[in-house]
Amino acid sequence: MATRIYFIAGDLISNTVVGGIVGVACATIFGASWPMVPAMLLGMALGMVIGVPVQLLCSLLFGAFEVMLPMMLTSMAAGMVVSMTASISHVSPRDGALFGVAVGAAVLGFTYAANASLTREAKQWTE
Amino acid sequence: MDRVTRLKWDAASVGYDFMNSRGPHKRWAAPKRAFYAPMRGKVLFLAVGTGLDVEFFPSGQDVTGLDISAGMLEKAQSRVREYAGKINLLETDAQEMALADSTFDQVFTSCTFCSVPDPLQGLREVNRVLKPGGELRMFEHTGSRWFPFNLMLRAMNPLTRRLGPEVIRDTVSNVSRAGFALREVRNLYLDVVKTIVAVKRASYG
Repeated sequence: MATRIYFIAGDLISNTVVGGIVGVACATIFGASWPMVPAMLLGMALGMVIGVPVQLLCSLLFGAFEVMLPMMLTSMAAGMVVSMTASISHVSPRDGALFGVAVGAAVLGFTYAANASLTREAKQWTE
Repeated sequence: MDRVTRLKWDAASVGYDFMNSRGPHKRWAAPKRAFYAPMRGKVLFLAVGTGLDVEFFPSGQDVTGLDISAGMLEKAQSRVREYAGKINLLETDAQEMALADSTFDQVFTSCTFCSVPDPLQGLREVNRVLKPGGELRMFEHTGSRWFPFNLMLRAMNPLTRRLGPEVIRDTVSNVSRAGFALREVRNLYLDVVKTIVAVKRASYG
């Protein structure tokens, strides 16, 4: 049980931290002078790049694919959401961090739900 | 022997335990113990790497552990010495194993066929060394069929294949294409990490 709690907490920390970092970076870089679509696309790419070292670090502590996949998705989604929002209205780094944390939590929830559905039963064959 | 692959894994052996012996190893400890529990008879373990999985083997087994990398096998020595059973280590290429036909009752793999350069050839070799009716039991990561995970894996693959494994392989299809009869596929994480059980058809080859 302690092991399970450690990994659930690890998943939550990993995704909210990477979301927050990407959110701060994108809120700092992008502003109202940016056209929305390029800001969104660049924010996604930037999020993925910024996320890589954080993913590697968290992967050492909490797992491989189970950590890397949701974190990558969080990085990309946080980059997209914060950059797009920043191109429409002012987003402070603090707000960017909060957006990023919220995206991280949402992505983790989505991934847990997808995992529960995809691992429900085994496929078996008999001859 | 595939020299490029051997050199890649010799290089990877330096930091392999650092990357894998904490989070990933602990997270999968219980499923791996369950995965190895049905070990019986003469067993081939492909590829043994630094021997991280040896602690999950049930005791008293007769296992041949092979790997293409001398660096990996060197690191595996201490874990093999601690095992309460028999493990012979062998340096050979999964695509052309220096092993006789129909030798093993079971072949186990753990994150192996993401890294064998020609997975079909490797699986055909597994088929060759298994006895008719012998079991192939795999703990592997594969590509995903589901968006957005398939997109993430495709984005990761150009980097991961340089450092070690490919992350978009369709290993379940490859097992069938290599002539095995599938018995069970169980997803352990999304449809990415999974166990595959298959048997060698009595008439194969």
